[in-house]
Amino acid sequence: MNSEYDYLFKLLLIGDSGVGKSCLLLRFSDDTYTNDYISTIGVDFKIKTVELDGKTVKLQIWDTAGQERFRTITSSYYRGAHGIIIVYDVTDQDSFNDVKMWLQEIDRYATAGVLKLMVGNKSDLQDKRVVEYDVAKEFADSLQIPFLETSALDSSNVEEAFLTMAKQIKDSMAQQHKDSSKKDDKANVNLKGQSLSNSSSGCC
Amino acid sequence: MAIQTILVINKSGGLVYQRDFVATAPRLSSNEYLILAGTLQGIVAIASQITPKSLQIAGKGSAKGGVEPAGGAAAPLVPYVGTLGATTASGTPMGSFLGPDYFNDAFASCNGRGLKHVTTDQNSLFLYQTLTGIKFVAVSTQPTTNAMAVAVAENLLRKAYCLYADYVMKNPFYEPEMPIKCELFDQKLGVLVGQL
Repeated sequence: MNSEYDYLFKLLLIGDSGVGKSCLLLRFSDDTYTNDYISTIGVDFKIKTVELDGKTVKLQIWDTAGQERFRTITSSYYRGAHGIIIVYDVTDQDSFNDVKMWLQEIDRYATAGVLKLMVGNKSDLQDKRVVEYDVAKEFADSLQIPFLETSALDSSNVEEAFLTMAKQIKDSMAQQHKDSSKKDDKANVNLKGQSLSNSSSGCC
Repeated sequence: MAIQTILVINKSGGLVYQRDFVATAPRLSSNEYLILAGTLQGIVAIASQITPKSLQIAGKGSAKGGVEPAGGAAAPLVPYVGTLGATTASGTPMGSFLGPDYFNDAFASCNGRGLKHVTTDQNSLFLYQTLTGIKFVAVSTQPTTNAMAVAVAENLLRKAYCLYADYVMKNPFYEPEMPIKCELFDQKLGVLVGQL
């Protein structure tokens, strides 16, 4: 039965074709790297089990196809995602410019308030870099989205990218619980009749 | 024919419940089941897009009348199968809080244009989708394309949905969209499938 895990989080990887979404995921889930380029068809899944605050959490990561021709299908995968990672390629200006378009897609299809993370991949290719860290950081800050530069090749920041996200989701869920229980407390306070005097004085 | 496995897939395509009912069921790892659930979610989405546009528009009209099954003529009605093919051994009422049985009339399928039924050489897979997007999936031990078997499966899964509403959604410790760990749901589902 399902007792193996307590939580199931849905993460989504989006971004232009060829920015390294699948490689990033391969590095995170299997800790391997391949130089071959194989276009993802529709969607691919990788699952990683992590321990957070003593709970077993399964991260189901949906690696979507970046190619335009799969766009109609990928939009249906946004539903109910807990976190969305937008990937661009630091050696490709167009992929960075398209981040805006991807953010619009999120607004259109994903749940409101979904956690976002912007990731600049291929940070090992320093000599071919065209998108500067500061420019991307400024852009991310203006939208209040966390930002990281990663490299699937030398595996820098890859683990961090996914685990930060998982931790944030877990925390936001705990927060929601607190909020809802707080509301109940307020309802209890109302029973004492303290708010009644307020409402009567507000009359004009 | 028996039910080999029952899966519950939440609206975002995550597997929240999986249970095998026969000992001979192939042992898939939990990750493989998660991938199966996600893939099914994608296939259902694509299958609904295959439906010709004209039928989709017609389907929309009938979906509105879906609340009152008799209303829409185009709404495909699933016949009611009471005992699910077997007589209840004891006279104890089987249903949820609503009455002796879970429901007792034909119902309109909320899955007007999605995927309902897949058959391979070895087994069949039945899919019941709720209005809220939860999918109940049953895998049988033998393949079938019999319309009666499909109706029985839909009735079974709709009853599983009633159990879900009664014992999972009313469980104060259950977190929506997360894996289901409810003892009562396990028990009742076992009895329901055992009836078959």
